[in-house]
Amino acid sequence: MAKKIIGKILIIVAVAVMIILVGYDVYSVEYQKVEAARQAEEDARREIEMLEEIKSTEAREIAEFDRDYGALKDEFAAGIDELSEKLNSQISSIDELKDITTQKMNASKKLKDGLSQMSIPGPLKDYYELEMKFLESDINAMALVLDYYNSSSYSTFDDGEIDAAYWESSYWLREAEAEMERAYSQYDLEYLLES
Amino acid sequence: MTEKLKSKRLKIILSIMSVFMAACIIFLVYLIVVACLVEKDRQAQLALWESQKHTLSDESLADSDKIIDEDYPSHYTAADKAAVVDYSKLTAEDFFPLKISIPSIELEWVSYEGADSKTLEQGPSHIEETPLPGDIGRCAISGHRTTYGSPFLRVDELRYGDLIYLETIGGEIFTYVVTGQNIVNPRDVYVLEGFYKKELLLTTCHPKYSAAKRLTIIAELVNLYPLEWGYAEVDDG
Repeated sequence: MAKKIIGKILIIVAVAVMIILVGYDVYSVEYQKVEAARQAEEDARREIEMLEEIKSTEAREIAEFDRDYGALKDEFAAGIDELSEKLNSQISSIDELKDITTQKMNASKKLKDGLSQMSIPGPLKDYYELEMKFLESDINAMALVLDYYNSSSYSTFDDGEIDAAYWESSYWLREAEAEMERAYSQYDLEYLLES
Repeated sequence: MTEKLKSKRLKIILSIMSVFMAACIIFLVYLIVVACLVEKDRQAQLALWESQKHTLSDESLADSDKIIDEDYPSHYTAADKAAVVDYSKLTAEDFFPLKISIPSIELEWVSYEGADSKTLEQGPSHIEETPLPGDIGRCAISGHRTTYGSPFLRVDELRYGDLIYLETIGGEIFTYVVTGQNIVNPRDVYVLEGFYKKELLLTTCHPKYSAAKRLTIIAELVNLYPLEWGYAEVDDG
């Protein structure tokens, strides 16, 4: 009788131990799952915070670049407007024409030098490359126009190269502007393009 | 007797001098009136030309399409377009009357087609047998040097590199740069012959107040390339 009771007790204990072990295992697995999920959530939150911090730093850098380069560009554009106005009024000699073209070329060189000395924010690296290409092709176009004005015969001069340079210049300008718009919109800075 | 004779002679001399002075004054007044009338006429012609130009621009430059009938990139000048225009389809009516301007000698006149004496009285005129503005060869424009408003009075002051503008009523501006100056005999019509260049020839009498020689100014078509920010509207084509 006693043996039977002891046997039952042992079975009960063994079952209980088994239940406890299985229960613990299930608990620990579930706990790990919950913990992992919490950790993942925490990591994601931290990542978002970090990205936002980086983004706000980059946005600030872009805004600063826009302010500094914008000032240079405004000065450049005002100079070009003035030169265009001169060109549209009837100028009296080819020397004046050469002088105006040289001034235009120098204005582009000055803007290029100004840009190359600026610190470029990471997101605007592509824009920088494209803007430099635009300015280089613009300077090249003006150099070709000067060659033309210095040539011995204007009506027999092959000006296909000038046309190509003009086309290239406008192409790089459009590309640079598109890239700038893309970068600015990524940082919600489109309003800077309107000013 | 002698006194009377002297007095009579004096009177005659005084009368002759008075008549001579009166004639001089009348001639001077005549010159001034003629100059004023010619200047007024020149101004009237320019005003008429400008008004016709504005009327045409209000009508979307309909007629100018005859000269330039395709869409070109915005940086194309009249010289560029002229390079691809089929001149065989054009007549002088598509270009004339046009305005000729030379800023370095402050010249601004309306120029007409046909260099006959009647047309030349109105202003500088295109010699019919020569090419049209922008075309290959020498487009020749003749003008009076000292009469009928003296449109070409100062052309001898033109120097290498000076610019000459021909503006059509459709708004196309052909710009020429002075490349040479010659004095030739009236019979030397070879100067009208152009070869492969697109040139303009201004011709007038030489020296002033004489028709013994002809003063010719040769100019070549030149492009005025625009300087706009990025030539923004250049065609992708």
